[in-house]
Amino acid sequence: MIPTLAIMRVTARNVLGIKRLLGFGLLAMFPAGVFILLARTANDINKSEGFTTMTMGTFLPVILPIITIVISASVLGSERRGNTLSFLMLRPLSRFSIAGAKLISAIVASFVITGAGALVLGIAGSLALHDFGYLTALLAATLIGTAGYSAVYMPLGYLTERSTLMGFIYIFIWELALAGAIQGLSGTSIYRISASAFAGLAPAGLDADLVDASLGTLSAGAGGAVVKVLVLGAVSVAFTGWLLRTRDLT
Amino acid sequence: MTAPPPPPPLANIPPPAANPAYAANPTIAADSVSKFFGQKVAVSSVSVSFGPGITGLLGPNGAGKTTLLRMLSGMLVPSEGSVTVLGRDPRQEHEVYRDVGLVPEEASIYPSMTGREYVEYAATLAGFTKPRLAASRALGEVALEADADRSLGGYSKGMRQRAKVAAALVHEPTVLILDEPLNGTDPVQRAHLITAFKRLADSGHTVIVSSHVLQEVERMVTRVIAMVDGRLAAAGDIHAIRRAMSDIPYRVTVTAEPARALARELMGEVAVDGVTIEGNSLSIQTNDLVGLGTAVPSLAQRLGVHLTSFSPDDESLESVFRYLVAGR
Repeated sequence: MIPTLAIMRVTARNVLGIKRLLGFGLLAMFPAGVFILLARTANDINKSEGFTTMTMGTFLPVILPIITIVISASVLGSERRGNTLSFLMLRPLSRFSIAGAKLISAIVASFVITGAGALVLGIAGSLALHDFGYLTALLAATLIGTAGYSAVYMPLGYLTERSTLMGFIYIFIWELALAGAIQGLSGTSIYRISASAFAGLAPAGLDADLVDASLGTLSAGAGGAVVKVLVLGAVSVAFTGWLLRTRDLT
Repeated sequence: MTAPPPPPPLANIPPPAANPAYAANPTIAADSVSKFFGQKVAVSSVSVSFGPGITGLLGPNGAGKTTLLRMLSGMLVPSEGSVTVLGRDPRQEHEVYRDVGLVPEEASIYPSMTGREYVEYAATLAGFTKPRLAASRALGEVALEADADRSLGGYSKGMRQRAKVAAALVHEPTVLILDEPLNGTDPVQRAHLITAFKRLADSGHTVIVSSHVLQEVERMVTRVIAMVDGRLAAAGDIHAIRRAMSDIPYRVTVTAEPARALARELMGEVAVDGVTIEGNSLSIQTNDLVGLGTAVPSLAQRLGVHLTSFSPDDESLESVFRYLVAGR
């Protein structure tokens, strides 16, 4: 096995314990559960409104970031707190390849849970709205959102033990309050980047008012979202690699 | 273990005769390194080098041993000065870690892994294509093969230490840095590890050992680097360091029959600073160990005194260490 694959395997195993899988798994399924209950009695218009609310109002802005931030922040943070960082770093591996392996681990480990939540919610929505385009759109948006949050919170988890708290402040104060109220800040919101991908890829039929409110000044479309997340990922790897190279390993 | 290739020459390192802090064929060197943590000076302007063989790094708690080892291994960036490992800066050239193994003082294990997985992971990260084979060999070196498939979380402290040593040895490094490797090990495990370290040193590897267990260190090292308060306090052969402490007289215990007659004559010898008697045992203070070694047998022969033992009391590593710490 090549070293970077070994790092990814060990990291995924360390950050995905049984308790975390069960707890976050239930959290990830919550929007799907609510939507399934709602869809049993709702008409098509209410189903569309309910699905849009659960995807763009609950899953993408709250559930996905909570899960991803906690997992991503721990991929390097737990190594640092567990004193295993020296085991990893004193090896003949480039710091940037270690950072890259860790970022991919964070994305994959988070997506195991967020992707499962998106899969169930997407299937439920697609069945209710008679189009499986919603499922693929939600899975793609979930991957984009997971990658975006991972890119930000992996290095932050290395820098500070309070990265999770900072992540929750970012979600609830910056993204949901400030970036929602001040239109110009929409571009700084990872949630809105993933929501724009979802709105761009999903079939027509989502609740238009809710979509507009979610996107702010961003326009619907996956291409821009993918580019933004790729840039975020590259910056994250470069910054983390630089941190690993220049900071004391304590 | 195969013998490592000869180390490349290091710049700016004077020959060993000029300074006992420098090794004859250095593989790893610190040049005027200091480390500050805020206002605290952990290591202050230390210049030292290490070569093939085992060198003991000694000092009381807070002396700066761990900080120096961390700088040598590239874990910490020196605030001042520089570190070279096999002619390279470990912070800039990660390839140097093909030739370096570190056993850190702290836990640094993954509790959910088995011992074998842990050592295999180390081998994979070092680029081995058959990590299982390398791991088995390293686990055998530290006598951990039988427990290799148990979880590290269930290991005793001594077993964890041995797993860490195996992970550090698995890629057969030229330079092995061991920070308190004997911590938590029982006497049998210690003996086994010491034998393994000696074997590595004998085959040309550079082994640096920091330890509080002075008797065990004394069993394996000939060269010592002593640190006190973040500074280099002494370096070189243990006996040479003791000889350099000219302000502290040696204490020698001589057992003789009758002891009193010998004590009376010894008081007149130039080499003797003082004598105390307890039964047949004489405790002699001297600044001239060689002179005393000549005087005692000749006096005993002249007086018809039967000598049964002659042993320096404070030439041990522990005594030397005690004097160094007391003199800070």
